[in-house]
Amino acid sequence: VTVFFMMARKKRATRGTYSPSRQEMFGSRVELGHVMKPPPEERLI
Amino acid sequence: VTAMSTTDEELLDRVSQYTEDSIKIIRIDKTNEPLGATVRNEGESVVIGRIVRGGAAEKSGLLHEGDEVLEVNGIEMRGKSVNDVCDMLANMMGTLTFLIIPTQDERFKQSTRDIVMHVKAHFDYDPEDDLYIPCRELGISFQKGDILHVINQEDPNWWQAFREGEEDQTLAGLIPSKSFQQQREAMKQTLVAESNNKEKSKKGGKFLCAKRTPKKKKKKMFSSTSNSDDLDSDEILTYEEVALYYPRANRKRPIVLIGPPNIGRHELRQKLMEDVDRFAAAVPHTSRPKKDGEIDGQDYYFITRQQFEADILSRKFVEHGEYEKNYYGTSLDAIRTVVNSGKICVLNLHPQSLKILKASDLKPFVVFVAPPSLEKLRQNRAKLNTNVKDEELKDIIEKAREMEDSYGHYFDMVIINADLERAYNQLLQEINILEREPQWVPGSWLRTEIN
Repeated sequence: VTVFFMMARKKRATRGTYSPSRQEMFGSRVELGHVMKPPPEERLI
Repeated sequence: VTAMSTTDEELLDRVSQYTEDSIKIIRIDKTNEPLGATVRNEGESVVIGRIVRGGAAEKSGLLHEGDEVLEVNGIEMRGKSVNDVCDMLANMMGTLTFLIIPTQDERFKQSTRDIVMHVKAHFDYDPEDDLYIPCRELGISFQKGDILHVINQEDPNWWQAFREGEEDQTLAGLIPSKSFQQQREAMKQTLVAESNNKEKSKKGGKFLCAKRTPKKKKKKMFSSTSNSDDLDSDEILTYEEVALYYPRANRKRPIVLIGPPNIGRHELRQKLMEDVDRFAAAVPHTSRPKKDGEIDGQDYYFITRQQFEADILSRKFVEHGEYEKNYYGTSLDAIRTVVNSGKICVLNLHPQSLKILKASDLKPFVVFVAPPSLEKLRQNRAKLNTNVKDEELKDIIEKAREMEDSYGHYFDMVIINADLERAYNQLLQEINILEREPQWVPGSWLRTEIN
């Protein structure tokens, strides 16, 4: 069943686009770290 | 309640062990699909984060945002991480019995049925790259131009939606709300501006760095060259509300071809215009004197210079320019005349015309004619025996990229013109579809319509 979740997730995300200019400007995962705090993580049940 | 089974007694026994005033016992049938609720940790507790449209949890109406889950099928939840809860529930099927401390917040208790809002996305989004999405597995990725059906806006930051063409998904997905996306982009722009300023001062002096300033400046330049009330050129593009428009036989949408020069826009237009029963050009205005043999209203609308200038001021033209001391321009009325004649008006315009055209009642269909790769472009030019420098070709590609950057949100279709015949067929096919199938158009077009 976990495999199913992974698949569902992949399917949804297949159309994401890579935006090099954005990556250059903001780095991959540090963008607004010091301004906005990520919300508490939620998981699907 | 008549006879109580032993399991029910056990259940009540366990309920009595909790000190909370009200504890609810609820039962939901679960298949191998998720229930469609999220959980988050609040300290030791496991709390329902949101109810997702389309799942068993939403349909049952028994779970609410803010409810604390104490037990599921006798397994205690307090102290468990949401990841463990997720894994555990994924393996459970059949009737699940939840022990719940209901939320005290009245807002979450009633489930409101929102009206569906249809939007066109004006940005690319990938939940895998988003630190701020509360539940990544629910994120929907989408691209500029995709249509999204927003079905729930209860969370001001995260909307629930389906992507067009994916309505068969049982569960809705999450997308950033308009206001969240605006805030985030505004913040990014500020950060970029700040870091640019820092760079500047590091290099010491404005002189050296004056040539390349960030995007913002570039956009400002556009607004100054176009209309003075073009104040929203710095607007952050998020979503645009759209509505379904059903084609009408007597009101054909004008086709507007946009793109860098020398990529085949004129050839495409010429090819369409060969079908004179179906397509027509708008008759331009000019301030130059009529020559012998020319017919007013057929070759041009001949007007005086003063009249032309007055018409510019009263915004009658979608595009105008001066050539050898005479004005030339295409008016909204000239396009309307073609539309009223039952033909499809084909226009080659500068992208700056798009704003005024979009604000009109003409419902243009905007096609961006884009160059192929540099290599392909080079090959095509070689075939035509034209000697063009690589620099010029690169310049065309760069121009196309800039156009897409600034005006991409106006485009209904992008054709990469690697081969004229193929591009023409693609365009014609789309025009045929326009005449028989409903399309998503800006919501404002239908609201302001006078029938």
